[in-house]
Amino acid sequence: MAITDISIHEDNKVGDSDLLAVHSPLTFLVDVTYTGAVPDVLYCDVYDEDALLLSTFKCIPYQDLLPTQRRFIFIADSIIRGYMDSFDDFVQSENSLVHVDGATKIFELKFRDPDAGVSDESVTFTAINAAREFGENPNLSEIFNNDTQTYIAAKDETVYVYFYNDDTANIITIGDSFITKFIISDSVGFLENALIEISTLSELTDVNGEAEFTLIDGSYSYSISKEGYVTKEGNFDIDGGNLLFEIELVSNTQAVVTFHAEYNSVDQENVFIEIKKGGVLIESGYTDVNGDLIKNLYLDTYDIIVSELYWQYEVAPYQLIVNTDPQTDNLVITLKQVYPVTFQVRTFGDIKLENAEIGNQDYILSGDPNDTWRNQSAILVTDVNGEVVANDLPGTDFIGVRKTGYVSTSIQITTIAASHLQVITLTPE
Amino acid sequence: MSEIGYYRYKIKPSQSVDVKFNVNFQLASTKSIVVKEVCDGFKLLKYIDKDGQYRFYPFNKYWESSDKPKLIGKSSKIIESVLNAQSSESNIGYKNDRTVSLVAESVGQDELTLLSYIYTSPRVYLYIGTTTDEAKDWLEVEIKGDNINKLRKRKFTKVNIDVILPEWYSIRMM
Repeated sequence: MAITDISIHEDNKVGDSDLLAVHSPLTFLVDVTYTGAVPDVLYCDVYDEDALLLSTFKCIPYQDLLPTQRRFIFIADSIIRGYMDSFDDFVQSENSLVHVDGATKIFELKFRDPDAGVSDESVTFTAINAAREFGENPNLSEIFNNDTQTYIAAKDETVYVYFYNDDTANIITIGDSFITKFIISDSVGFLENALIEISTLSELTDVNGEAEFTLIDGSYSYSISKEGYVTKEGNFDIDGGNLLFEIELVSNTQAVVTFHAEYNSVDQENVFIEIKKGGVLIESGYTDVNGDLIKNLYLDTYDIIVSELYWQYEVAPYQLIVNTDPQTDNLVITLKQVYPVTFQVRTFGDIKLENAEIGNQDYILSGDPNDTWRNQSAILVTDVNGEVVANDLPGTDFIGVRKTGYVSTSIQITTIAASHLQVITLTPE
Repeated sequence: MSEIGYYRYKIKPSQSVDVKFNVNFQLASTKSIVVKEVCDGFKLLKYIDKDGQYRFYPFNKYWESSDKPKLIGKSSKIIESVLNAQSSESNIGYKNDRTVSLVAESVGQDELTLLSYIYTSPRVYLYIGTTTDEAKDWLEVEIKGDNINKLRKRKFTKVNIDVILPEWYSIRMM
């Protein structure tokens, strides 16, 4: 005789519940395939939840299915009942949640060939000190699933309320729960598929960067992560109300950004560019001979301030969104508005003076042709009418005026955003 | 981390209330407690239902106690003087079976089902304490009823249960 196969025909499990009542009939049917003489013995080893062998029993031959297959039966209820704890109650403090030791126990039944010629077959289940009545759900699924139950209590007297836990990884608590909502974004906008983890819970944000958790009162830690961003961690407390968190993630991915300054197809060298975020200077530098400044920046939004351009050029401060690698940012250079100023140099008697020279206030003493007034490229010289016109920006400063035979003079002038006449009177030496 | 099996929450509710169980900080199940008003002098029984859960039920203050004393026996004694002796026997003592008859009124149909498990409960306890809830406050008793299942299931009904207390200790000769 040789057993060639063992299979469990009836393990009493239905659905997702492995809760078996041991105060009702409970039998296991095992089919044995063999060659040679029909086997009379099949063993059942009973193990507890610590994998400790409690005892070995013989299964009873029940039915011959085929010439080479016999069914054995193991009547488990009376045996398993012997290993359950007593029904005595225990003391418990008020408003406490405790595990009821002994009301349930995990067992493993291992069916094996006495000659150990084939692999064992085993079944694990949770035995419960309960009785399943006719017509009730198999596997006591209503208990397993914690379908709503009602408990009767006398006013201000003790009552126990029961909850069935089916997973050792679960954390079980009592109380009302509240909504904690997260809205996740980066410097550009809402972030989808950011992973938010709280204890053993996790959620991915939707297209609006939102995710919600239903939590009870208590203290929690969260972690928010997404590829390309620095993981954000934090703590919060729930105390009887809903919460909302709006959190911005910072990118940990850099891009090569080229700032290019050019006007009328002419590259602008030595333009100073400052890159700031939240008022804090991140990077700065001057454009090169090609009008380029190259920097490595994290994917984010920055405030850009440009200065030290040619006096008539300007770039308004703006925000730059860095979201690709590489990225080029062409500075938008505009012309400043200039206004004509007519200088008229005369002497007493309203005599207009030709060839009077006008520079900045240093020019009187230096005579240096580089000491020009304001942004002018050369010293201004009056014509036969004693006049010279210069286009420049509005402002207040000093001019220096000199002419041979006359006392040089320096005066403060204010030019306005409009055409302007400035009369200067020189005194003969 | 937790254990597989029943978790039990103990509470003394002053009014009907829902108890919310959360798994991993999310609501998993809501259980309802129905509180019954009781007057002073009520009796409380604790028993195990068919699912292995301890349940409680209050009975009204109109309970009745009855004693059934039983003579243990008599022993002979020698009459030493005919002047002052009255009997040649002495009682050894008595043992008493005390029965408390309890009445639960206005038992609804759903409550009737829950209460019916008391007849098949391997443990039934009678509360004999005053304010505490310790092992000493609960007395294990036997029960017999008026065959509750024969009563027609009306909207509200009355249930009578007799509780037989453990042997009543008394002074005895041996």
